[in-house]
Amino acid sequence: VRRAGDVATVGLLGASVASALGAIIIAMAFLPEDPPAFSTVLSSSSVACFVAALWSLRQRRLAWRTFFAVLRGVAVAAAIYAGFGILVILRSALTGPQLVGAVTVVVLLTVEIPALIAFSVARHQPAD
Amino acid sequence: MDATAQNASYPDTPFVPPGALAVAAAGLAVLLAALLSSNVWALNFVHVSAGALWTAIDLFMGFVIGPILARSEIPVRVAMAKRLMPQMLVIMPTVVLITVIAGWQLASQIGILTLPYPLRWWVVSSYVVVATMAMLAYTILEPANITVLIELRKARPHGALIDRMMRRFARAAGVIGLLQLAILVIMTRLRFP
Repeated sequence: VRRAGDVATVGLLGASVASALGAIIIAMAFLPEDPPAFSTVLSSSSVACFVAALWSLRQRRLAWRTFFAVLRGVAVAAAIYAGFGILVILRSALTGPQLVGAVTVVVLLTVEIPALIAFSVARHQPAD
Repeated sequence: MDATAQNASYPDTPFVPPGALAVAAAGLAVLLAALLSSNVWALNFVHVSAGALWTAIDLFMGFVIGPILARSEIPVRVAMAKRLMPQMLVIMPTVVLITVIAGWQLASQIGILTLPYPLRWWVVSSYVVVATMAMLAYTILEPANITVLIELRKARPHGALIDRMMRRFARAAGVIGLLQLAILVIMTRLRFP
């Protein structure tokens, strides 16, 4: 049961990251026009991440200590990467809703990627 | 050994060597300088150099180191992992970041991002390939790398798990290396359509 739950959580977190990356591809493919379905894809990414968080909280048998240790380290790296990402976005020609959308994707990925990596590592460790 | 004892065996030493962090910081400083200068040559140099390094490391890991490890004894694999994986944890994400960020800024400055279709399909296909590589890195490469490092810090490492993760890491690196070749095809097609 635990294994199925782990796979579901990793699947949801993976889907949330894939949706955010998909939103970036859609936005870039339509530049300089506003992309269709960008908000929908981005919202589905947020929902998948939120459901994964709720799902994982229901699992009591997880190496939570490892999860948070990895989450901290990867989050620091992700924050540095996000800083560079936001820097190039601010220096680009993006304005208005496109600028807000691009920054939102970067912030979302900064949350989702550490969660995905931390959970993928913690599920291989003995539960606390 | 129970879970608490295993988890309690993490030493306080850093996950990655400080020297590797210093090299990564130097690489990021070069990227920042290129970004702030907005100099097309500097951005191109940083993008191409980091991209070449990324491709070479992935292909080397996947097609040279991977098969060698697969044929080695487990103690050899563990000894190799102890020295290799901490470096890879810092080097790969840094090289990827430098390549992608410098490439995006460069493409933005020289008008690649708004190329007309059908030429733009090459650019869009490069996004798809990079996103696929990113997914492989986030779901397989990095978790495998960190899992090996965690195991190696334990008093009694789980040899079979390290072995499985090292194989997974090498295979994923190989696939990413092949995808890098696809990126090279796309980039050269963009330059000379």
